[in-house]
Amino acid sequence: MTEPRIFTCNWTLFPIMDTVAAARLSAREGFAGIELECDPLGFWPTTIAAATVAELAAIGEGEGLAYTVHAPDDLNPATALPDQRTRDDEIFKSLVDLAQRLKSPVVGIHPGVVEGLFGLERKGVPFATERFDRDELARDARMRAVETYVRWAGLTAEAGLTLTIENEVHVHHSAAPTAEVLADLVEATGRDDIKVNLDTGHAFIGAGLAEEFAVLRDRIVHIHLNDGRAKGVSEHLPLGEGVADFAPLASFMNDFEGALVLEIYAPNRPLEALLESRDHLKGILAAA
Amino acid sequence: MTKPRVFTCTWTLLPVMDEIEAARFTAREGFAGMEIQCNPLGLWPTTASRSTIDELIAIGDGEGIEYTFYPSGLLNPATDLPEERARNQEFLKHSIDLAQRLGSPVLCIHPGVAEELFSLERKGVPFESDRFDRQRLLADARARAVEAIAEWADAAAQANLIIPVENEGHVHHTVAPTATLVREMVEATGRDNVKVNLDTGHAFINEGLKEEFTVLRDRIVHVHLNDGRKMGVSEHLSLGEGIADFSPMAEFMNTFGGALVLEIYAPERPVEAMLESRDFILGVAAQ
Repeated sequence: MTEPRIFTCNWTLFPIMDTVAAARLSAREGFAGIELECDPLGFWPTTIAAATVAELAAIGEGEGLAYTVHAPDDLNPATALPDQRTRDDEIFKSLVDLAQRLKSPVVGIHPGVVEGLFGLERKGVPFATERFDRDELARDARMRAVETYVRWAGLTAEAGLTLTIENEVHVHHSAAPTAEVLADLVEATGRDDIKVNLDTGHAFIGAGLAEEFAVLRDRIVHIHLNDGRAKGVSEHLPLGEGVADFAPLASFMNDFEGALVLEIYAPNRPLEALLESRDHLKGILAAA
Repeated sequence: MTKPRVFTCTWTLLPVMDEIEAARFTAREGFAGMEIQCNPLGLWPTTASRSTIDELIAIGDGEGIEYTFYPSGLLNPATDLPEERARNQEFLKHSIDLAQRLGSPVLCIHPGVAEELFSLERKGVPFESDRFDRQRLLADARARAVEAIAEWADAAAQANLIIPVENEGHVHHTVAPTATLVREMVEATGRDNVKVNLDTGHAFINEGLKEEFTVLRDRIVHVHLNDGRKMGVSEHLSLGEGIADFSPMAEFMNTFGGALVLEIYAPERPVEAMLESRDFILGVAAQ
């Protein structure tokens, strides 16, 4: 049994501090690391200052703090548009470079969305049309997503990193609307270095935490921890504020070598919520 | 007095026909022209096939219909991100080329959004943070938009194109939440080929159709016609289905040389809605 490696997340701390301050806080409070999630107002792969990266690297080395990085939400590996692909590739390459410099073992992405389906609705309400086959659009998008995963995994592999793909079945027109589809997509890449980032809140509001965990378990190398309370509604609650049952994951997490990232949303009291969530998690792990 | 030049719109007809069929329909039904609004499922600036463009040109020449060109709401002149700017440039280059080949006199754009403000909220609900000044972020985004639109206008001018900027005060985190700000931005570009595209539905649900029309009137070179019934809710209703009063624009439309585009959303019956809306607006203009 290894000591669970609990990470903070700059997204959680964003309302009150910048990424460098968040890294210092993570070290000071005894967290194993911090996940760096991209945001235009903070940590952004194509605009981050070299001095900031150097400072983060120094904090990491000096304080023994580990980093993981996660791509922006709007990277879409399933896109059919060449202009979007060019833009996404540029961001991804910059992020891989940053991950390597900060010694992140993983680069996290989302599975992508079927952009064509947004053209067949207005304000989320689809309209009837015989011109397009929605299932075919989804299938084509999934094929493109697999091709992109393979291409991006080639880049991460060259840098000695692992590509992780997150479950987010609640996302409108997700290319992976179930954990089974996500597992199939990862399988279809034919690459052993493409793994899964299990988001506990997403799983809870999707098919269920125990259910999605069971489907994805063999591929999980990274975990986003957050709670939920209503099916289909992603709230990223602090642990214990929702009703998700984390017990089925406890023994897995106790032996888990990857990062357990507290990716929670509590903008009015992020620091307190992080510390309380860590305590809650430790309680679950101790009870296993 | 010229006859109002009423245009169809590919967005309205997308549920039932592609751009080629829409152009033929437009000619057959006696419309003056058609607005091509880019969509990933149809004509897209970076993927449009040569044969499709050639066929559209042939229909335009043969049937005497005109085209206007609207690239995509994805173009965000207010962005601060280098990769977005690069994408915009690429997109714009293709769009200018297409607009020119199709003989469109205009390349319609939106004023842009302050993307940073999306980071200071979750699911549309802002959170407290002392780290950022939202008004400052918005003002900076607006300044960037003016700069980008001026650059785009210079590129468009090489192809003799006009850039109409649309009023869309209801859009979340738009850099131009009022008609006055749209006007100020247009003027701040200092470019003669930057004008206004008045969207009647957007005006109605924001400050009011008559009110926004009055503010923007002398800059309008393009009009999107659609109706509304509720403040703040953009529905792009067929004309007459909402409660907007178009009469203050009647005289203007009768002498207007630009396109009056029926940009309406009626996916169950787009053809019928298009024809009824034309009858409606011609009736308003005749009064």
